[in-house]
Amino acid sequence: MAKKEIEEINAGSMADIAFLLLIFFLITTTMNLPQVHEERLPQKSEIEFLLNKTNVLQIQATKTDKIAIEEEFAKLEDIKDAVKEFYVHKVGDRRWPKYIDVTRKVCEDTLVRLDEVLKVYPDAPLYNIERGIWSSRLEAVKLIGDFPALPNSATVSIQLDNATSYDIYMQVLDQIMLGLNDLRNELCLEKFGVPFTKLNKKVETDKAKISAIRQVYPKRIMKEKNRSVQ
Amino acid sequence: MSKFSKGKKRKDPAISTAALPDIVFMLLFFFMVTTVFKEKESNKILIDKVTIKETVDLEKNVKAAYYWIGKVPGEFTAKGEPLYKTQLDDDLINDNSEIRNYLNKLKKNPEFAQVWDSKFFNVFKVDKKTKMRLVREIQDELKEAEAFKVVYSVQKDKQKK
Repeated sequence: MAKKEIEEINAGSMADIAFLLLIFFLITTTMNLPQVHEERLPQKSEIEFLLNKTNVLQIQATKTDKIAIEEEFAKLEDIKDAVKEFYVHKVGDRRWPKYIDVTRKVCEDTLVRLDEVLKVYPDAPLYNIERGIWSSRLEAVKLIGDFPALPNSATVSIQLDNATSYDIYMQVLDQIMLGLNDLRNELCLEKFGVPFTKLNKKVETDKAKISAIRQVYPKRIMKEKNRSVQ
Repeated sequence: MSKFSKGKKRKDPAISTAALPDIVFMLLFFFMVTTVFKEKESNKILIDKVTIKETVDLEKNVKAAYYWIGKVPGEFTAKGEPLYKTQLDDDLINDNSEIRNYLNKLKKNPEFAQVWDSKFFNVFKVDKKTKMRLVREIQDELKEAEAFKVVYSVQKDKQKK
């Protein structure tokens, strides 16, 4: 056979391959954002509301990191179910808050009434807050129909001892959020066919959905200073 | 002409090195892309993070002040217990009222003042075993400076619920 010079391999396309890989990894990689739990501190001069006992789900943590729900010792995991029961319970159950029926008509009527009051006292903060709540409720009703809402004063209250560990505090908050997000997910799946966590708040239509669902299951957590149980 | 040439030695073809830079770049890009930046860490305080299940992503492009609360390695209280201290951004603080002053100074900066109520976050990185008293005392200072947005930095529990 005739002697054959081996031809040089054409390396021209190597750069293309490299770029292809580069672009592939650029697109498929997601940066891990730091994971956090968000909270808003209360105003310092906040008005002390007189709370109806049935409107409060009381969770206590002692200095030895024991948990009590409604003044009975309980396990950490029980908080989740207690929170769910607090938000969703049989109408007329005496232990839990009474529902307000939120319908389009109720929303509109209340808004008209509040506007009249606000004409007279334009700077009354409580009425302004109330107005904000009812107008978001109206938006929610437009999107998901009538729903029963908890009264505005219904809150989950966490009472901690000064010596309670930070770990327990975070675990309690986590359990509350687990319960709440379960409910939100259920509702979101039922109304919109997607889980709550999949909604993207940067998308305008999703944003309305998020705020509607938050109206039905609002996150209301109150921290109280140490009234610890032994 | 004979069928088998014996005379000349066969020349080895030169291996092309033209692709070498591409390979190097490819490696570079690979590592660039797969690298995750380490979160801002404290060098003065030891933090054992809390692990919880429900977390949210910290928003992007926010202004933040960082608070570390945890053990100072090698230092103990008079009783021989580990010493817990707070670090605000870069320095350990001895008196909590420093926080108020620090925040008030930040607030005078228009860049911070504009977003004070919307995009200014107080990021807490707290050791598991810290007593709530310490966290509370610091949050009381935040209230004084009207900085109400707080996030707790946590580890996400990836296990199925």
